Amino acid sequence: MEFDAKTPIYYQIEQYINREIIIGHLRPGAQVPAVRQLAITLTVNVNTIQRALANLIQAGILVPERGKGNFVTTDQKVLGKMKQSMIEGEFKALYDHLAALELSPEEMTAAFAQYVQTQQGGEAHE
Amino acid sequence: MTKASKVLGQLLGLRLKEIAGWLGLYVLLILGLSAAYALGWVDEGNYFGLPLSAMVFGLFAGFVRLAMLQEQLWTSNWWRLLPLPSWQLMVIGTLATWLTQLMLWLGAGLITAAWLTVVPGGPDLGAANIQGGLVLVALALVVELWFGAMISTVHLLTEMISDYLPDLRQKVVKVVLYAVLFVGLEWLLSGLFDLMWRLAAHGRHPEFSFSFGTSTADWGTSVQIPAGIGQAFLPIFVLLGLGTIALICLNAYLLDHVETKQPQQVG
Amino acid sequence: MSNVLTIENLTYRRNWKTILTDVSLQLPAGQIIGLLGANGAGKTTLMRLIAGSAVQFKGQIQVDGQTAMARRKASVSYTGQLTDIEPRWKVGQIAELMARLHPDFRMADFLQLADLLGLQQKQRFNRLSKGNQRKLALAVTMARRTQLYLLDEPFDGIDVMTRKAMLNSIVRWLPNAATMVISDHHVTDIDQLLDAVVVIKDQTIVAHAAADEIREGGQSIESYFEQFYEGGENDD
Repeated sequence: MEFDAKTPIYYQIEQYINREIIIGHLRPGAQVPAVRQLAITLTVNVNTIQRALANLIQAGILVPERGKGNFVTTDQKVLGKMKQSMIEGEFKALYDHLAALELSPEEMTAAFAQYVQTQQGGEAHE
Repeated sequence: MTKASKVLGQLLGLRLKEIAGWLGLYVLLILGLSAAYALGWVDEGNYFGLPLSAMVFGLFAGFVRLAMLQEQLWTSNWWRLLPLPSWQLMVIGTLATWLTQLMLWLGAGLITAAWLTVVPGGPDLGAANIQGGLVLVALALVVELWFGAMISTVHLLTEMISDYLPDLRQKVVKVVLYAVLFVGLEWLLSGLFDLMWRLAAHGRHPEFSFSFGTSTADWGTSVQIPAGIGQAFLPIFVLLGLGTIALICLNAYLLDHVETKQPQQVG
Repeated sequence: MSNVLTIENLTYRRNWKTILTDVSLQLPAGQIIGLLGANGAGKTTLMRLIAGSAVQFKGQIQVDGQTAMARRKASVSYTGQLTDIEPRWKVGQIAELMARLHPDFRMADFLQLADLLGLQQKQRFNRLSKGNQRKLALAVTMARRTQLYLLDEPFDGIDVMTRKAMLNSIVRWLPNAATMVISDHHVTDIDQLLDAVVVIKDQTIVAHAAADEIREGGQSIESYFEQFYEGGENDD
């Protein structure tokens, strides 16, 4: 996995796990790989993994089970909030970038709707 | 922590091949000479004298090689980073040099004895001559132990001094110091043998020099080696022994306080 | 957890030149630290001092609570331990000797590491490419189970794929409570592994910061490091 140089790695790992959950690679109630295994797979420090997991546990996205490891929560409300938050994160970035290009809010929504349409149209032709 | 005896064992084990190689060369020399003698190319004096001179010359000249190997223990990270107190490393290094020489002497001696027993003629191996010969060898070994320690003292002092000299001078200082040492060796041995004759032979002392001749005549093996030579030597052995211990202590101290490597230029 | 490395007021001079002056550092257990500095800044010298192959210093160096050199050496595994070995020794032979001379050397770990990095047991050291020599140094260093690991520019001259394998080996084999110091003058080689960075400049340590804090400030570790070297690459 390639990491962004300007954001804390633990944060990027949290995002990674959240994405894995959203797209279904990690199902609700599934066990998350062990800390050491994750560190080896992602080639990061064990401390970083631990910090990321600790944050996710605090957010309720992961649930620790004594002696067994960490599991994805089955609480759909929490997972729903997390997905929402991930999407909002993407929107925030888009909004900030478009605002920097001095688009008004109306121009933004129009441009984005147009863009989505052209993407759909493109796919229909393939 | 690493065990000192293990390190010494490993170190000697690593040298076995080379020791065997040198002894093999000696055997080849004898065989070659025997062939030449049989063909009449070499006279009797040279036939019996050459190997003996070669053996002694080789063992002392080989000291340079051994000094280089000993120096490696203080300069190579491989040995220097072993979890051992410096004094143990120093003792190991000095002992290893000495034991290597002992093995060489024993090997060469056995080969020579076997050769002289098998081959007819040759120098008179009377009891007195053998005893005298053995005392000389023992003296050589004790002197070598002392010099093994002293070589490291010279090396470490050289490093200490050269730290204050610009790089250019360093090699010159080293060469000069080592040359002084080698000359000192010859002077010391002549002096000691001289002393020995004086003590044992009550004034009657034939000149003993280390000008290596190749013939038995040069060695003066026909000269009667006086009795009581062992006792005459005892004080010298003791002095050299104590001197060696003192030098090893000094060396251990120096090893902890003198840099033996330049820091690498990178990083 | 107590500090695995404590350095107090370390000063080191050679040939009338000051190489390090008034260096103080505390490193806790269980961290990976990047030692950053330009070429010639003193990174290797600092490691040699900690490992015990440089001896004539002022100040104090403590590893795992020990100041005595022999005990420090037992607690430190340094990639420089293969410098000046007999060039004709073979890879397997080197491992054998390490096992006999260092009680903390794990032969099984070494064999796995050597295999992972593609090292052949029968090759002579002087026949190995520079890259392979560095891989061997890494394998030998990681195969010792100890408290402090010092890796001196382990990725110098190593291609991308091998570097990934080496990084992976480091993560896999570093014991939990052990601390590792990696020096590099290309920060990007290692920055995803680091818990903290220590910057050497002007013969001393000018910075010691947590990697997370640097990144939380929106800065890459590379640009954090570069701000100390506004003028250029070399430290003279």
